[in-house]
Amino acid sequence: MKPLQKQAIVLHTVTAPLLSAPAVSPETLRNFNDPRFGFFQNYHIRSRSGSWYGTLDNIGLQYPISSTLLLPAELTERLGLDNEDAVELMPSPIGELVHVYYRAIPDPSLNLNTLEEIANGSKLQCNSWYLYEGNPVEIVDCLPLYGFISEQTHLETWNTDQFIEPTPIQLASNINTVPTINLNTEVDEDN
Amino acid sequence: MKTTNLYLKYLVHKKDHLLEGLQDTLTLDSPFGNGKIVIDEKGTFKCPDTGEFGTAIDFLKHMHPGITTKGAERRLKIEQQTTTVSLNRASDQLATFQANDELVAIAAEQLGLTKKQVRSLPIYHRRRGNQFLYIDYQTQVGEVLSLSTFSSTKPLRRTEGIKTVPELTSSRIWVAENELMAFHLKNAFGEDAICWPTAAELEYYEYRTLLKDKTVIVVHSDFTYDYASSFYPFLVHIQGETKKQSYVRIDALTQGIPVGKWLQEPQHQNLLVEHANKNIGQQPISPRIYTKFIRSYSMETLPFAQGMAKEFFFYGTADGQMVHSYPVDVLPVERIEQNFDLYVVTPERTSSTHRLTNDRVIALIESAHQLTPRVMFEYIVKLMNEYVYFEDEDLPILLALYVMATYVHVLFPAFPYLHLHADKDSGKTTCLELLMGSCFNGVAASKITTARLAQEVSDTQCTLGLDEFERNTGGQGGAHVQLLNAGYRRSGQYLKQRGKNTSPMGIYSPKIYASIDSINASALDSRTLTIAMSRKPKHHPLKGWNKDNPEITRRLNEIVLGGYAIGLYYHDKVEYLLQQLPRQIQLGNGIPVDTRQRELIAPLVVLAQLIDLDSSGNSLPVERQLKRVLQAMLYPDHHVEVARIKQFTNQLREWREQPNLIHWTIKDEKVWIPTGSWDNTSFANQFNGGRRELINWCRGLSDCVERTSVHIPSLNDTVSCIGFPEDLILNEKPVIEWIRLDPEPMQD
Repeated sequence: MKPLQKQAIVLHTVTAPLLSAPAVSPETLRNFNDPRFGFFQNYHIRSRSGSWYGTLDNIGLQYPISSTLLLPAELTERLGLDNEDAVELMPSPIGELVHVYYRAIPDPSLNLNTLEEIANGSKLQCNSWYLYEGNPVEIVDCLPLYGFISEQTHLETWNTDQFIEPTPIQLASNINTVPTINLNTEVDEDN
Repeated sequence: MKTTNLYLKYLVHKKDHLLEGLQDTLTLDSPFGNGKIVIDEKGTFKCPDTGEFGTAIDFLKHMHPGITTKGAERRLKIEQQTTTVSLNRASDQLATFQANDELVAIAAEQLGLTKKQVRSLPIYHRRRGNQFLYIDYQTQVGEVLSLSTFSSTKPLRRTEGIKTVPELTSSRIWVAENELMAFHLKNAFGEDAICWPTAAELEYYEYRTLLKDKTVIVVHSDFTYDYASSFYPFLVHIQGETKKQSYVRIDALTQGIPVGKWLQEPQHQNLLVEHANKNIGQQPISPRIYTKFIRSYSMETLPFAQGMAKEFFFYGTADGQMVHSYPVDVLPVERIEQNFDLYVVTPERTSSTHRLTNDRVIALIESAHQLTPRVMFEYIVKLMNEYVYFEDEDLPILLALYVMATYVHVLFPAFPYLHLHADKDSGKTTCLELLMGSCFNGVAASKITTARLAQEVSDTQCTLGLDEFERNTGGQGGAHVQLLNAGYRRSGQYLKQRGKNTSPMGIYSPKIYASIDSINASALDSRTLTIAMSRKPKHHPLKGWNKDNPEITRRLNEIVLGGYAIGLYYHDKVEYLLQQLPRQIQLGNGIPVDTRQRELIAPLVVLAQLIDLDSSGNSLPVERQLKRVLQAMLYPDHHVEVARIKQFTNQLREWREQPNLIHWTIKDEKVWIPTGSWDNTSFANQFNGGRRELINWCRGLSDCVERTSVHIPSLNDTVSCIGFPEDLILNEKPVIEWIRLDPEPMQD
């Protein structure tokens, strides 16, 4: 059996305006041919210019063509896709972030266009800079140390008095702690 | 997506071209002549030798005569994409199917074709949903670009890719609902036959031009589709262009004979043409009338507790939600209905019988790889052996398979009942409690009214355990027995009075009863496998049973979880094995079992085969062990029957060695032997020379054994014969091998 994170399928995308999250038919997930792949699994959608992480909605058999990923309009835009472009779907190598602590960056010289917006499904790393509600912020700490933002993630401003409980999660690799604003950084999926 | 991808799907190329095609011009052999075709990076082509040139759309128009610009644009959009998994695998799956003789035989039976005909078609059978797939269009480089799917219950084709229309040369064109029907019509009349386009497909081909001045006859079966998918929009579209047009509902003519077989007879062909001629001028039904009278064409009903629909397996949970099979998801009933276009028959009353809870679903998903059928089987057998004594030590195998089969009982057309039959103090109640704790929604009831019993079964499709099922205590009373008799089949229903109306309730479910008395009603007895139990010998160690013991509860829970895993992860394999199960099952010593008894044992044999698929090297095949138990149970005097089969095959061998003593022939994949051939043989002496008894015995070998008049070429005469399927296994060999000296290629 292949390790989970080595498996990926190529899907064509279709924008569906009424959706709130990416959705597939169960038929599409059957292409993984592995019982571990279901609707409870976190997935990673990778296009040429972006990524999204999270669980998929189940559209049943409402969309008749399998091997298709239905995307909400804003996500199609975020991933830089045209209708019917292809993306890769694979199991997410990272989990949901539970807590994120950030602090504002008061540097007026910063070019805001280079920063990635914090949004549901985006990957976050500590000591990196992002845009949050239009303002530049630095991620001071996360629980776990890296992961993706979901609706359940609690974002909080950093208060120096705070003490963060260490996470019980066993990390398999070293984390790059160098401050970076490189938006294309990926977690090594082999880990 | 690069347009050059499209050309690579049609034209012979080397693997290197795949890379080249993504960035550079391509030079390949031209499909328009002997020269070359040059494709530039923009996707336009040029053939220097023929002077042909144009865009990818023009290329597709060349490749598919009759296609419209819209059709070519749609093709381009689909075909320049990466090929989908189903199209990609189609030719491999076809090859695998055709290499499997058993699968071909089953498909041949279902389609009403010979095995040779099945192999001549680009058709294969898919285990999920009992569907047939037909490769509609394959390019010269082997790329499958369109694939149609249909089944016996949904005969209208559904095509992935763009349906291709072949060149139409005959003056009369037959139009059918799927490629197989089109094949039958083309075969019977030697004229062109196509599938009708749906309303959406009409713009993809120039149907008005292609069918101009032709006679068009649509042959259809029942309306199991919406108006847009029916042939009526097609007929309206071509009206005025054709010479004549007509439509015939073929089911009204065939009287249940498979269409392929029916159309082979010239008088049937004439009958079809005659009826088609009568219908010329009949106007297509309007969309308003169609939608008014033909409704719910695609709406399937799904029972809440356990059901199968749209190739997914479903269970209802105690939380009122539903779980569907792999990839597993839990959804509210309304979303199941909406997402799968189903109508869920929800229980009338809430019941604590539903064992599946949402937390169990999570546990199940997390341990999907561990809860294999073999693990579960071994788990149940171990538990049985620890708490219940069986004189035949292989009986727990049968019971374990029964428990597992209850979790997918809706897949079987009928499900056997179990009767735990023993004197007092033989462990009946322990065994029944253990079974109730392990089976799908097990409910034990010793005294229950018939109406309550029907309600419980209808609401929960439970495995019903009836203790003290004695003759004199009301258990075997008339009403109970009638209900049990009906609930053996999937179609079993109970009519319930509600005010002035009656409404049907499904009462199909597994049922187990325990009693000291034997079963009095013969109809019920024939639906039952009797487990004879006896008091345990003093020396035999058994653990004390207490169903409230936490350890036992934990073990039963694990079995229940494994049971649900069968439905959620293995239902398609069970379905596949069931389809593959021969009409005649051979028990241990070669005793053939078919019809009712086959129905009775089929769920157990299929589950045994499922476990054997996951066989670890050292274990004995479960199927073989089960068949030994079944043989002892169903044929206590099987030695007599085995001896008779051996004498029968000895006679065939004798004829093979002295061919001058026998005249026989092969027709329709059957070996035909004149009934008179048996007179004065040693085998006939078995029946005291009675020909009728001998013939009846032969017909009892399989429901495929036939008696009819057949032309025997070596006699140059048509005589009364018995026909044995060539592949009927008797005494470990097919009939054909017993009688034919030299193996020859299969004849038709």
